[in-house]
Amino acid sequence: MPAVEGWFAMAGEPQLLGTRCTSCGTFFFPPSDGFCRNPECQGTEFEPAPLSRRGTVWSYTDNRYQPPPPYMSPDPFEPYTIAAVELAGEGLVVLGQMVAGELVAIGDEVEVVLDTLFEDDSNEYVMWKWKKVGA
Amino acid sequence: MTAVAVAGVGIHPFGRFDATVTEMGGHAVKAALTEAGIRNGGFQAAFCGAAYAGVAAGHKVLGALGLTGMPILDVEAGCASGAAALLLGAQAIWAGQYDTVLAYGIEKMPKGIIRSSFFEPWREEAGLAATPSYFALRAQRLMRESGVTKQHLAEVVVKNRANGAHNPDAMFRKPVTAEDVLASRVVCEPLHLWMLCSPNEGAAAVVLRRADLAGPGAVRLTGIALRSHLPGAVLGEATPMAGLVDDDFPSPTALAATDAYEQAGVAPADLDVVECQDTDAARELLSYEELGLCPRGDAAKLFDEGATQMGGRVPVNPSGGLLSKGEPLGASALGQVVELVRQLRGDAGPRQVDGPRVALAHVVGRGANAAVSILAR
Repeated sequence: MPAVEGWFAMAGEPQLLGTRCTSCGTFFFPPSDGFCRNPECQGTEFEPAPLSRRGTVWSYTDNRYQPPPPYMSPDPFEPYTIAAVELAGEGLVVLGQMVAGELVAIGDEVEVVLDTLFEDDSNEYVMWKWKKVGA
Repeated sequence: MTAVAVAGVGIHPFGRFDATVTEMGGHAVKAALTEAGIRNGGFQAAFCGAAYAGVAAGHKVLGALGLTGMPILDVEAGCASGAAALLLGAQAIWAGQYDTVLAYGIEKMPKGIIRSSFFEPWREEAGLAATPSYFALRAQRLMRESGVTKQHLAEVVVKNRANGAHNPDAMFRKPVTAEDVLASRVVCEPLHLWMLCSPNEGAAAVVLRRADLAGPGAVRLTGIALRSHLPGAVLGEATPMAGLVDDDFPSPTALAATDAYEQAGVAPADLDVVECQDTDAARELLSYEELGLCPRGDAAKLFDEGATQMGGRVPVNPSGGLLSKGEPLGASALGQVVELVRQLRGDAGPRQVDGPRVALAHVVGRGANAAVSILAR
């Protein structure tokens, strides 16, 4: 089941589901509603906006220590890489974990995939992650 | 507009102590009031910076000293909380409302990664909210854009720890080598453990007074500005990491610096000494560019020239910086001001910079808030 409901497609090709302001066209992820954060815009209505599946790595790092709860850590903790990815179509920068074991560099092309974030006795919780294109 | 002078400063050392945050605050406040030669009734308002100290934490400090009755404002602005308190105090004097005010900052934080209600729960659950990784993402960009290497990051720590060895109020007072720094474990690439400051405990206090009522030769607060990020810098998922060379948006630090320089009527070239936010080693180098100590992209070059070392053109973090002192959020900005006032008075002992006349203090943190203060004698 999704670790966060409604932010990514669970069927078909993996895809982040953002929103778009119907007044000014600004994209948001995580999906935004309420007020548009474009300071020039008075919009309050948003439409669903499936986002580009690919982007380029703007920056990256790795977490080699276990973040404190509520981080849902696998047991035992495994270090993981974080990438800040600039989406090809929207220019949004979206943070995510890289799939396990992948090295990455600034400028690399990556695509969104769904992967296990953690498991408990009854469920496997999935989250979006980034994977190098062609890897 | 009347000028603002610093009538007294006080500090409780930064580190780990068997003392409450109230006790530490009382120590710093008492020292500052004593230096200013005042006690109850001697100041008309109090502004306390704190982020993790709880409800009305500033009131408790003055309550413990029997010094209440005046307006006491508790101020939270993340890592800039102490500077926000100082700003409010200075503005009140500039406005002609008060003659003398107290600004102080206090904090007592647990060890390790700072948790912050700033982050939504999903982000923490997904492992995307650990503060050091945000520093690291920014550091990676700086390395790419400004010729900064891991060796530079290690050498910044060496510089600041060497300075901190002469600061009795610092938490870490043992000099280190670049090899030591690079041998400490990687927390998140490119940052090793010793390249990150420690959240810790401490307090600092500053008494501000109308300059015409302060003694001749008193250090003056000639500019102080607090700015937040511009909206475009955090549209969508993008986090408050602006201030990079490939970013079209001026960062909160650059905005605050521009305002403070204008108020003080000085330019970056006029600075003789700087205390800046070295939460991590890369953050110090980024500040060189944002504060205008060098052109964008030249942080590594400025460092390599030795300009920011003791004896250089503009020594940075003679106190040892947060890398030596640690960072009690509410107190750190005022700790910088305490250091710079001592430097300007010529009272900094073995870490004294040669004859400074203009000094700058800089903090930046969650929000994103940045504050720049300029002091002069």
